[in-house]
Amino acid sequence: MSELSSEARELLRTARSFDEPSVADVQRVHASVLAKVGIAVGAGAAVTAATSTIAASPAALLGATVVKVGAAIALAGGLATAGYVALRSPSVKSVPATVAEARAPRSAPQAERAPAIVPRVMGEPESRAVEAPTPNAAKAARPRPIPPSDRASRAPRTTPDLEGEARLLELADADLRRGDANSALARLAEHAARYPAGALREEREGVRVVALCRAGRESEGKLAAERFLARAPRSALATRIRAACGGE
Amino acid sequence: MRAGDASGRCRRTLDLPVTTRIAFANPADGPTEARLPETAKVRPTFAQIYNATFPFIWRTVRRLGVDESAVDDVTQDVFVTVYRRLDDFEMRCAPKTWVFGIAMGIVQNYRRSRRRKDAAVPLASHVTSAELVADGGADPMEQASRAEAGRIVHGLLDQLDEEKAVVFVMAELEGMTVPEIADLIGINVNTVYSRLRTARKEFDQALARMRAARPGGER
Repeated sequence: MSELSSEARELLRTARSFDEPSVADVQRVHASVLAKVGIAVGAGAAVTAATSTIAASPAALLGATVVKVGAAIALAGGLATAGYVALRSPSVKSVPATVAEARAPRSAPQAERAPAIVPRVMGEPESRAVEAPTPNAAKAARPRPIPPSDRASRAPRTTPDLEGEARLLELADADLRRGDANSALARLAEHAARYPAGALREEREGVRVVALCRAGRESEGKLAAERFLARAPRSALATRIRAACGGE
Repeated sequence: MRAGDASGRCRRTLDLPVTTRIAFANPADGPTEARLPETAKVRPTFAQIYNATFPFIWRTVRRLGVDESAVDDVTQDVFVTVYRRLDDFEMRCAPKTWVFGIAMGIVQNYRRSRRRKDAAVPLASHVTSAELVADGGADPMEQASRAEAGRIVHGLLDQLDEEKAVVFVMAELEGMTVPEIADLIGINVNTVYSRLRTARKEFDQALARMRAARPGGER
């Protein structure tokens, strides 16, 4: 069923990454959503009010989790990644076989790899050591009582510096959009040094692949792109990488 | 497509992979996939759902005729709704499917109100692919930068009706398979095939019209 003309295909191929959200888009909308549902981002008093009024509902726990991990940080990327590790670690074995089938061939090896990664993430001391101090707003916003059920969905790593991570990535992204791939690479290297196991390392790696290809380090970039795309063909960054590195 | 009733689409226990995000600790360590725990007994958190579905929803909203200036508002509405309805999400389908259902309802409302507001200028910001292309000079298809190509595609998609545009976007831009699309939208596979066939034909025709309208016409 290939009635689409080659011209249309080419146009679509070129346009594919046009609608990709930037890191800033992800953050901005997340912040406005939280603001709208009453989780006042970064404002201690308002957060207390908000959490107490909706404390009875499970939604409050979600909100509290979001706020706790860092109120000023609206970047969900890190939250979900961290949450994933927390949720996933005790239950890897309980994933029904049907899932493995449905996701084969990629899911099976990943399920096996996951446990190996979890202890390393949980035991990592360095991410705290190198963290910049959390902004006051975030500290003030952290709700006091932590419901036990909430703990399960929390990152084992406690207060990650998501804001700092996100800011660095945004700067790198801005460099790239300006066409300064080398500067982007420098920022990404800084990110890797400061947050070796940061919650946004997927984003970092993806942006780095794009930057390598744009900086003219083709062979390195292509290799990194292949590896990235093999592992994350549907990543939000995949289309950008394909566009930058010429992969299809 | 029915608006609003997202749960109606959640017919299957197990669905498509929700999303695949890879978290690299260090590329050498190998990846771990941070997808939603779709089979977990635990309801996914809002942050997890947001993270897993936001890029998809953002792209989809932009491609289904929402003005660039309104994309923020529309996606925000989608996720505010997701947040408020999270308790009702019965996890009978993938979160992506659930959120998509919500998004379609909101996009449809947006399109209806846009039509009312500027009936005279139906395609407000994506207008005139032909004009756009004329500005670009030379051969648009060769010269089209990503942004130009993106806007041209938006303009062409706007000429498809919504049912066809959705199927076309999922197949041609998201790279989804027909069964995946059937599942996402909650229609049967044959319907997807027939809409896709028509949509491809119409897209090609719209592209041909656009090229013909360009000063100089076909070479």
